[in-house]
Amino acid sequence: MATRIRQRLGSRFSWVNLLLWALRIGVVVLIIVGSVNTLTSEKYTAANWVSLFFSGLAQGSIYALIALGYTMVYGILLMINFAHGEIFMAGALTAYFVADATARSGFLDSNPWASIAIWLLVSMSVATLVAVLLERIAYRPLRNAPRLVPLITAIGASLFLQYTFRGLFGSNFRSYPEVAVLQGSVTILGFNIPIDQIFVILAAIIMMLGLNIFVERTKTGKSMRAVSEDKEIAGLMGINVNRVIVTTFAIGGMLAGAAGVFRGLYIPQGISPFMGFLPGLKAFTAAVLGGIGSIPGAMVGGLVLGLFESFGPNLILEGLGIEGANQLRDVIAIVLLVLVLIFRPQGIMGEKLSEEKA
Amino acid sequence: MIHVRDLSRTSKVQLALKMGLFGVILMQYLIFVGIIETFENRDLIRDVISIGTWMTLLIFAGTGYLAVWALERASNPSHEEVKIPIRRSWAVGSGAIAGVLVGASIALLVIVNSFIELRNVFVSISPELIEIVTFGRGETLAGLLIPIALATILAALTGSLYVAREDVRRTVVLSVVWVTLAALISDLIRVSLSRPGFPVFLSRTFTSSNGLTVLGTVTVVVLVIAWGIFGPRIQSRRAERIAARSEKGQRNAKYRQWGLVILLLLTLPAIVGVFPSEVLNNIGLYIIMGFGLNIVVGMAGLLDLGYVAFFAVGAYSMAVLTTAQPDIGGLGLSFWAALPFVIIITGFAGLLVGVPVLRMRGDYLAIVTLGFGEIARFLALSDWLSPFIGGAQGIIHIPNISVGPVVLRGPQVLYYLFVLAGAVALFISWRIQDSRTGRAWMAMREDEHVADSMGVNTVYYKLLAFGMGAMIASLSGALFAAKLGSIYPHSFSVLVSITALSLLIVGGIGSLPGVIAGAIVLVGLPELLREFGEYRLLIYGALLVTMMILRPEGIIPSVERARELRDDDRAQDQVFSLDDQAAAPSNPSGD
Repeated sequence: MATRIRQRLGSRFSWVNLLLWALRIGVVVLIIVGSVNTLTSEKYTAANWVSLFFSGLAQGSIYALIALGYTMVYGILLMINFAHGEIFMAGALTAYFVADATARSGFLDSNPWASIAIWLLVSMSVATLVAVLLERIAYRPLRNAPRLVPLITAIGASLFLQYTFRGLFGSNFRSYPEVAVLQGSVTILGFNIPIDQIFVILAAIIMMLGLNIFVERTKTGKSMRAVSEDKEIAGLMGINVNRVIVTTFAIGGMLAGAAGVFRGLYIPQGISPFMGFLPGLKAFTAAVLGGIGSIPGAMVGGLVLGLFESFGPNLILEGLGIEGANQLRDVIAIVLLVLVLIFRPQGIMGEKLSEEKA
Repeated sequence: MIHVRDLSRTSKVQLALKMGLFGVILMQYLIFVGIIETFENRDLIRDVISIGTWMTLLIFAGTGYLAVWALERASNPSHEEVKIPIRRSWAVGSGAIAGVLVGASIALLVIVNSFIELRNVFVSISPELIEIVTFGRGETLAGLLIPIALATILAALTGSLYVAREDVRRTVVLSVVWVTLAALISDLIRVSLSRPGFPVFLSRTFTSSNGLTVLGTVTVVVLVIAWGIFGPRIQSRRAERIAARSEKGQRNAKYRQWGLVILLLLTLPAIVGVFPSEVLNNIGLYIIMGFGLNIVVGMAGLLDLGYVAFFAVGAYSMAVLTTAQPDIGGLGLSFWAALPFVIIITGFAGLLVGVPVLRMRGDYLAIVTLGFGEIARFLALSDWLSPFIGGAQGIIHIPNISVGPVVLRGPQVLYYLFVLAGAVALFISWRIQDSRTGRAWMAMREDEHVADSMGVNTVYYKLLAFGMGAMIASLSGALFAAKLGSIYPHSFSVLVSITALSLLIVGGIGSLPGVIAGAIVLVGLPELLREFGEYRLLIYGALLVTMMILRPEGIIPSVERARELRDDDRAQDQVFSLDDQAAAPSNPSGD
């Protein structure tokens, strides 16, 4: 039956296949032509590329931290928590006020590391709280509803959170205070690399390693994996499925909150109630790119997306003679998302999912 | 007094406290988000009470009502049984307990604010707000006690109202509801009453520039009471009269009703005046878009979150084809000459979006179309394409629409174009709904693979849905461009898609009357209530979540969709295959 359906689909989809192949070849040709043009024009030095590489990695590790929340929730509930970008925003925005207070009182200058730890603590707890409340109020009543229902709910929740935070804190853009110890750069192999980028990358890697240990080694992690395999059976085996789901949301929120502070350290400007939408969309891209549902996938996907965004405008778009290529930086992520979903929906590291799951 | 389930005294008190806590959360949320303060500038009854204060009092009262409602529900666990009445003493007591909590939370806020200046972080906690919630007493002992006392008394009163006689209860609740509604749209009433032909005293006595007058309020209450007394009698007499009519007579009456509706529709701009006509046009814009999106989402089941892209393509192609702006290279066509091209171009854009997403399902499709919408906006903003479509500066000098020698100017005239386009979109949707195409879409929505093996050409029908949805959106976009005379990229944000989707969901997915109702509620009301503007999207978000949890089929549901959304067995995307077998078809409302 299934093969017959596939045969029928195959014969009918042929001209669609043709179009898709044309698109595929077109994309590859554009990338190659653009890169070759840029590289032969020798507009940028090796130092430029290295600095782009590290800023891409730093940005990418922030995406990866947010993407983990998407991927873990998807792995367990098979739903896209569209409001996850707002959880990130909630953490970053509330921690800003603490950051501002520490900077004003002079505590930041005397104990910079302790201050950052406090910011992280606040951001992570607020984001966790928002994530858990979101699950409890908006998603739990809909757990058995058709798939599009929770997605629409998530969009509603996302709007609600954005405008609630706007109402609470106002819509003006704010900036995190400067942290003196993270200014400047170190020289490695003759290349200057800013310290804040190294800090963000290292901190993100530590967090991801911690998550990996948690998921692979602890009992809760084990039950999380069991629930993502099969909720029903896991429940029969005595696992409290609800608690596992809440834990998943909480961990996702925690990582998004941490990402919020890192975002504030790496790019201090532009902290506002609406800062969550694009990073959310991009982190979702990262999760899909790596293979949604896969934890290592989200990490790899985030880094790859960060690099794409960093190199893309200068390497590919400028080579194609597009003016103001950096304006189109955000388009790259979205185009990447569309291309991945068309050509490789299972992502880089994802398993090939069955029809029901994909 | 007999009790089906005897609740202990502690559990009754606990229940009241729980509901009181709910009231506290709502009250504090409205305070902190700034809604109370925003509405303070507008009066409900002129010089008597502002809407902000009115909302505060409503929450006090509502908490008491809620507490007794919960108590009744807890004492009568099953719906079939005869309701056991709540004892009056308990009704008053529960209300009072819940009310004290709400009042105390306000007092606590005032105390905390006097020690720590909350305004440094929370922008809404201003001195004016403290004045509002303490009813003008500020940070004094009276300011702390008055909210507590008022909340307790009001909540206790509504608690006892809950157990009062049915007709008393209904009259009070209806009076509150109607007074609130009348006050909110008092501007509209005022404009409609103050036109040539109407005696001037009508608008002056009942409404003012700032809310209802006292006389107006009394009139509304008297009308509600009168309807309570005479309403049932009038209704039964009318029902008798209708039943007595012959079949032909009934049909004639129906035609007459439709005739009236059409007549009203055609004379509406003349009745309401210029500004409300502008609002009507905005509603029309979204009704057209709603019909288009309904084809894609409601009929074909493809959740498109980037619908704004088609609206934008329609508006931009109309602008480029008609503008007289020299640096864009506009063709300077007339509106009518450009319209066919606009529709074709946008339809083609629909196909362009449709092809790559042919094999995606459900939620992926939604996110990818969202991405397309964003791409459209970024491209419109970019310097790269600015020689063709104006970049961030947009396109200006789009000529007015003219019919022959007559130039259509002003919202009251343009209105008829919106009605025309809306009627076209409605007619197409209505005819296609149950046609072969409509049924094919329905089959596809239910299960794509089954539809395919039944011989439905899913590729064709998916593309058709995208194309048709896009073409209808292009009508809306073209009218938008011609109406404003200039377009800018920032008009085409993701919020347009979200608004269109929200009105569809609030009205009822797949329901044509629902689209109209949804557009009136979501687009029309906020424009009439200026203060809502700031909180419009907050309310949309809350509406989307609550609708999905409580009433996923919308306020005017389509029969088919209601069944699908309520009953998992028939839903296309079964997410939890095992859960579906284990659990009975779930009922999201929980009743």
